[in-house]
Amino acid sequence: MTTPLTYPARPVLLVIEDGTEYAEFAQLFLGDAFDIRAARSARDALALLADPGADALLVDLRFDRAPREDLVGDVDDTASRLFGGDRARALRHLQDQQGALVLGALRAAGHTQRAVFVHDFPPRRLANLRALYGEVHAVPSFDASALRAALAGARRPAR
Amino acid sequence: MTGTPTSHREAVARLAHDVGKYVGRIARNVDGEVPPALAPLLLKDVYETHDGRPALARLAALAPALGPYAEHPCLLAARDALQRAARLEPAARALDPAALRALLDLAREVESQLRALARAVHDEGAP
Repeated sequence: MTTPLTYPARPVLLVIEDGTEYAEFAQLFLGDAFDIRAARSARDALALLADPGADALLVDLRFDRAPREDLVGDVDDTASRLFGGDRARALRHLQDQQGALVLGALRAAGHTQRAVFVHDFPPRRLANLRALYGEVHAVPSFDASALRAALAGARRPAR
Repeated sequence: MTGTPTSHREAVARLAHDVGKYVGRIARNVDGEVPPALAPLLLKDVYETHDGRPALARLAALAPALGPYAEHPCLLAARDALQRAARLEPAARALDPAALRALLDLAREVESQLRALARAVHDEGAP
């Protein structure tokens, strides 16, 4: 009896953004090392994390092109809690911080994969994100070498 | 001038994200000659940056919200680089190698300047 040869599947990188720029970049510069999947919202991401799953997350921060109904967070609630009822300001806040809010939704659903942002976070902000969401990395620009380093060894946790 | 110090800082963060980060997407990863396969993406990064509009137009749209930061040296340097990129557009779109090399340098300059601006503004606003 022979044992069939098996090859380890490439890890899956789930890109979450409101456009196509991250996915294009990932396909070009990381596609040799990862199977790239793309989601445009937390809802899409949760569906893809259920099947086929992912080993790491590459998350955009600002989602100003996403339909409002796709955003995580409630405009009215945010306006009353944070902005004295200013709904326009609340919407901008939700758009500006949407990547972190999406990650929060994924963590709340039990998805603890390494998450990487392409953003130059101030050190204290990055520390806060790690305190809230566990394994979070950030690279300040679309630097393929830095992103490869940030994603190296990422594997989906056993569930 | 309109807005508050907080809203000015938020506008700088938007600018660094919408323009700086995306303008440098391909340029950050290419040295020397621009491979033919990457040229269309480099052109897109600079000339169709945000919702299909040029990076320079996005900067102009955000400028009124920047308050005092509209005159910051980093902002002025980024705007100058984008204006030079705009003048290069016909040659770059014709895939002239020298124009594409120059565009790489300008794109990296824009990204660096806007990142430096965002850091300076954050440090200024930090308690």
